[in-house]
Amino acid sequence: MELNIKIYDQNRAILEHEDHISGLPSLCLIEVLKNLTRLDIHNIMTVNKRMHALACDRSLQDVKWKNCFLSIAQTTRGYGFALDVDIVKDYPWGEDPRYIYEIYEDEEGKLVEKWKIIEKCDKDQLPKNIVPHNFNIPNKFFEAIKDILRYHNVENVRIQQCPSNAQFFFQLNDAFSGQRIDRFQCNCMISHLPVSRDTRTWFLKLIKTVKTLDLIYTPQDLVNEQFLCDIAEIGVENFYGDFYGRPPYVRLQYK
Amino acid sequence: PNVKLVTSDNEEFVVDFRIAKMSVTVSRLMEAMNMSETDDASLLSNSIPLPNVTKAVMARVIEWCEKHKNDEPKEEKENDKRGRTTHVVSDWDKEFLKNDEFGRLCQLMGAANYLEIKGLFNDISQTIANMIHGKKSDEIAEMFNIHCDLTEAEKKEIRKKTAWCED
Repeated sequence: MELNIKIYDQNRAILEHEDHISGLPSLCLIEVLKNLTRLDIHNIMTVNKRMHALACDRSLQDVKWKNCFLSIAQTTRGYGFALDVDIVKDYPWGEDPRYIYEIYEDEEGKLVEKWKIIEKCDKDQLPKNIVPHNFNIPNKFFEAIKDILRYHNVENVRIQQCPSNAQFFFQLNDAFSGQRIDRFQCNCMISHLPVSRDTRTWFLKLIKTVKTLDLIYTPQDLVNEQFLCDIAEIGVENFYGDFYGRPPYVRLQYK
Repeated sequence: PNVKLVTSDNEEFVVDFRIAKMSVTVSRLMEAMNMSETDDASLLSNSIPLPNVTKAVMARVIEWCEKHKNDEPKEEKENDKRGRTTHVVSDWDKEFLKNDEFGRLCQLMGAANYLEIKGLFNDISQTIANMIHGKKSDEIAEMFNIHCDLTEAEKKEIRKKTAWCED
């Protein structure tokens, strides 16, 4: 009986070179990289060209920087987000790195995207008391979130002065795909229309892994009796909300 | 029942059927050659050619399989302090792999990959990952004798892209 067996020269490669590891097939090396941290993978990237290519393999996207905090907010001209990484000693770019992204329309109506990384920042520097504007959030904004979350795991999310509608929550769901958010906070959401059933549905999908949910200062019609039952069902352990939307706030907390 | 395995350097290993079946590759080949546990004639008249494995490496693979032949199929994982997901490598396996020089360890990994013996493959990949973990780029290159074909400008560019920033 004839057998068709593929013979590759990995044994020969290992014997001929002192660099034994480069003789291994790419799939073997990728499996090794899966057992490392994101910092290790970052270090591997500059070993040589092949290692760089392997370290960029899509299958390694589950290995992420941990303990990140993402704030999404309206800015003076458009929308933006800031991602704080809270593992100072593990991060190679200095202390307390913060990624900042903003998208807006310039005077000629052209979309402008800006992103940067800063170190040693003031943690609480999100814009406050922004005058509401009618800039519609473009897809590029959500693409940018997706891009940054490829290598970062956000445990903590804060959304501030963003549209409270189904489309926004739907796109966030897509951008947060694969993330395990632990704490979710919504502040001063913008809502011109009553909250629809779809909005509530997509919002619930967004918070499906959340243990602590803070909806103080969120439009009151997002939280109804059914919503409270739903969040109890998905396993939210701590819920903070202002019932009926007027002071004095009743803070619900249950475990 | 026993199965005959023939390595690239024409060495014949006679192993227990259960051990042969630990390799998905060997299992498939036996199936293709109509070799079954209940048919002694088929086992005696055929041998399995393994052209990607040398005698020395095969001996180590069989030693590992002998030790693990009664193991339940499982894949234990744990998270270390830094949140790294790791395979649990038993003390026996650590000791077993410690005896191999790095070149041999890579050969063993290549063989485990070719033979599709998942447990052995995971043990080795975790062992190599542990060697890399916590080391900087130049330390990794030095440890494994890897020639760096990146220029300083290229390295800078890679770091810049990874940092996801403009400048």
